[in-house]
Amino acid sequence: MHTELNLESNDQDSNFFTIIKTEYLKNLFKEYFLVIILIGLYTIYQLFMIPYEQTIAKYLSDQIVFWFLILLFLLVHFLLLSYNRFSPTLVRFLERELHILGFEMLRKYKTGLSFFLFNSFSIIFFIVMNIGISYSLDYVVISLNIRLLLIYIFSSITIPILRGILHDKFIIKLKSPYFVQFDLQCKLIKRREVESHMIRIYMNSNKLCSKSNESGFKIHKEISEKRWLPRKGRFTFSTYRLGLYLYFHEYSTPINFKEHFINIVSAIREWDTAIKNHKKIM
Amino acid sequence: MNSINDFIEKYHLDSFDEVLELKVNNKINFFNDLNALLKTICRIFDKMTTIFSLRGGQVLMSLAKLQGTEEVISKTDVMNCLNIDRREKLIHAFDFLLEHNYIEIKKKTSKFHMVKLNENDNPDFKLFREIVQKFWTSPEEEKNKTELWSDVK
Repeated sequence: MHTELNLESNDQDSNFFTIIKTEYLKNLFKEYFLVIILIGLYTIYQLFMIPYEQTIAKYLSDQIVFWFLILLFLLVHFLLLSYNRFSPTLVRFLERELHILGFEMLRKYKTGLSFFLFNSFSIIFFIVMNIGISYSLDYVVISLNIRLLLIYIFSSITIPILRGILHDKFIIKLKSPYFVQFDLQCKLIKRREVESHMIRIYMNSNKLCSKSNESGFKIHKEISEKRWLPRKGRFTFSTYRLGLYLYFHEYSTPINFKEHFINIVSAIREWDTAIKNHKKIM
Repeated sequence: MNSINDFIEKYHLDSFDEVLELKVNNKINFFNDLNALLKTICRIFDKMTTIFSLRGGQVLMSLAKLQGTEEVISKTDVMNCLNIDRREKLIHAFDFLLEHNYIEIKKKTSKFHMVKLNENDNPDFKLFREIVQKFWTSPEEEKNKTELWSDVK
């Protein structure tokens, strides 16, 4: 049975935020469990790989390289997983709110540009490393190369699987080519905030145009100012965009979600109209 | 134009040595600047009312808007104007506004309640209503505009 969010009832407010928090935590532990299993497999494999005949210096260097890389791997994965959170109840709530407005929320598995870049660079990197390694007799270099290769393989398996299965991306398609993408966040530690503000919904438009486009920049600025849209989105989304393109960003809590969603959609509509008019004049 | 000080300065409204003469172009500019100021004030109303979780401010906005076109306004009209799906979501807002004398409610039947702004006790609402009716785009209108835009191929 699905729990329905009713944020308007004072009696049930805390209950629903507790449900969402519990779901976030459950999901987080599931992800940690999967990563720990993978790390366990990797560690066991490493233990069986230790050669019988080796000097103390070789053994120590091997261990330092192994533990450094495994800790780095753990840190990256745990940070990544801790940051991405998911609650089915919150998603159902958003689906219902959007349905009232006549929109449909689509789940889309997207690996994203960062993943392709990561894979391309790492493949090139390992080809170069392997060519170089065939001429090297240094034990540490060989050990480092093997470890990196194994970590790369583990990352290649875990990142897309965890992202694909556990972190659906949510997209609302508007008039082609426009869409709005959601990013959900729940603060698990309550500080001075009220509970409704602990759940945050970040909305981003698709790429509008390059920042170097002067007329586009001016129109974007005017619309953003008029509609009080935040200049910057959640920072995780801009890491691989390098700030070269213009987007609309909006932020809301579940209570004022509909108003803010309509605000970003209206901003996109105004952008579309303004850009078309500008092209006609040109 | 988004500053009252700039507006006063531009037309020397605080200088009593000069006579304010507005001829053709000047009058148009003056009117446009005044409109821009009022539009900004309306936008501030809109944003301020969506910042807070209680929808009291939004209910006042929708009542002010609907009073321009409707003789009789029901709670359902307000609900539709704000794109809200259930009347329960406005219960607290209506209760609060009634308690503080911001609105008047006439209960015609158990389900049909007529609502209007209480302008007699709150004279500021006259200007509020005029600004909202002229400049505010309600969530319902925004939604309709978006639907129309989405359908255009």
